[in-house]
Amino acid sequence: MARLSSAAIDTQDLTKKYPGKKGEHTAVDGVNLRVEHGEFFGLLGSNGAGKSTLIGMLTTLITPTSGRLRVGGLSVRFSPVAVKRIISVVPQRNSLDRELTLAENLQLHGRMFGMSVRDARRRAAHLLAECGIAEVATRTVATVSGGQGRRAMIARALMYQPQVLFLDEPTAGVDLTARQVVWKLLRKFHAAGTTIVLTTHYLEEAQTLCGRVAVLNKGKIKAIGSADVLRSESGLQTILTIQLDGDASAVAAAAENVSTVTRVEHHGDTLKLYTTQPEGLVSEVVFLAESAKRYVKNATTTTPSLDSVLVALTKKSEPVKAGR
Amino acid sequence: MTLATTRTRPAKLTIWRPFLVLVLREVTRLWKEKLGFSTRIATISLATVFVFDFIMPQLGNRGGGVASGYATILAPGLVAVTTCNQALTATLMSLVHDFGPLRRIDQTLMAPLPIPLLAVVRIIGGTLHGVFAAGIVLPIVTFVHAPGAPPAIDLGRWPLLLCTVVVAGLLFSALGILVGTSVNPAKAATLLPYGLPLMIMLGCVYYPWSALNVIPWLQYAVLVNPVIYVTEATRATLAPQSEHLPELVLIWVLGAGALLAMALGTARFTASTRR
Repeated sequence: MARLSSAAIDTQDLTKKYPGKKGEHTAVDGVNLRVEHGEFFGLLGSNGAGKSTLIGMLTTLITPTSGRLRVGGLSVRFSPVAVKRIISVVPQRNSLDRELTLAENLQLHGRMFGMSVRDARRRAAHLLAECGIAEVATRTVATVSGGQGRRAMIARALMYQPQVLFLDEPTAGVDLTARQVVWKLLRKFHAAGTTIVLTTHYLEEAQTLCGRVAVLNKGKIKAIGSADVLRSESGLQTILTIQLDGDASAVAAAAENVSTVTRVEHHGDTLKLYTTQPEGLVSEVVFLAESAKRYVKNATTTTPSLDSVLVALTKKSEPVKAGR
Repeated sequence: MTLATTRTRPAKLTIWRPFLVLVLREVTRLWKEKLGFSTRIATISLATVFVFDFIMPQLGNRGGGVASGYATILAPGLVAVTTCNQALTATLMSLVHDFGPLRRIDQTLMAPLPIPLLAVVRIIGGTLHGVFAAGIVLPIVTFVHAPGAPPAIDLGRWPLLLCTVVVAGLLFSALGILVGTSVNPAKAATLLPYGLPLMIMLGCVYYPWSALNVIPWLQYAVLVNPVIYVTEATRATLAPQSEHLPELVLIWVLGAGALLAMALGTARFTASTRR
């Protein structure tokens, strides 16, 4: 199938192998990934899953062993400088220039990308204010907190609005308050049109921010889709508990015929439905109850925890195919 | 102004813009540390000229003394060796930070220009350090000496001197990159206290190369030390009347050496950033 290369990210069989003492170690193994412009995309996985290697390849820092890779329609291999002009990267470790103040760090970056001194100064001040660190703008990197440094790195990456913004674990080692601030910022920049790709091992972060998530394990994509899609792909059941105004057996019998329901239990006026696709099930049950002249007094959904979803997904031996 | 109004990056951005900005960054780096840097260099050179040009000539023939006129030999030597030392240390130390635990290099690599040019930026930065250092040592060696025994140096050929110092800076900052990328940078930093004194002691700083003819094997063995060509070339420009290696040899060795070191240093730097 011919693939248009206008996507923000397009990889085909992207592989990175490192030589090691016990033979080759495959950090990223045949990854096919397509991220469209304007997406907020998450790469999820535990330590050593290959997230950072993948981000490294996407941002020109790591040379793939094999496979094809385009960012913004440009070949990373053949035009790395052109790629660097359209992307911004917020690495895991603090990469700010330690001899400069936060504002100077931002200005230097802006000027490198063609801004005038005046524009760079104005934009830096504006971004530092947006990120809530205007009061430490004239301090050097060593004298600000980890969260402030992280925000400054995000601000620096946005001195020129990049086509794609890469963040490698943007909230790792950042306290809860600072995490909320970072999330708010990223949402704002995403709304302004920036394509964002982030790696994380916090499921909550992926679910809160990302439209789509890819779960990486041992260098392979195990699953890809929205958090809800991942949940249903994990095969873990959502339990819908319904309390009716009377005996539930008639409704239970009717619910047995609903194709998405895998198991039905009932006890007195309480009905329990197990499903991997909980969408729309409540309204269906309400309809079934009405047909059986019953009234739904209460309905609660118990979804599997995201942690158990991730564990279930990474345990799967074969990658799962899924659409958007 | 809202974030949505942010400008997008200009499509036609030449590689020279980021290159110049990064070179300017090297200039400001030097400017920010100018006080500490110059104090350090001034202290060492002052101590050296004080011992060799002030105390020792007055000791005369008593044990340890040096002949008067020694200042003429030492002055160019000190200018040269300081240039070499500072240029090499500047690039080597920047690589120690670059490839250290924070991998500062990753951010540098995101600059929108070809990686070999990043090495060139480093070489220029090292050269600036070398030239700046020479500028501090020169007045010290010119004006500090034993009473009535100033060094017989001629500052009239300053453009030639500047050329020598710049080429020496290029050569040694490129060597700094070669060393820094060939061994573990952290190790390179610990090697400095061993390597540098050796290069200086056997670098014809305290004696002209021609004087080594009393120990012929050493006279030829030390020719592998690049410092020698810089000290002799500085001698040739500052004190042309003194004995020194043939000028043609100096020009060729320094010119070709600097080009070769820069080519190798740039290539090594580029290769070592590849993961």
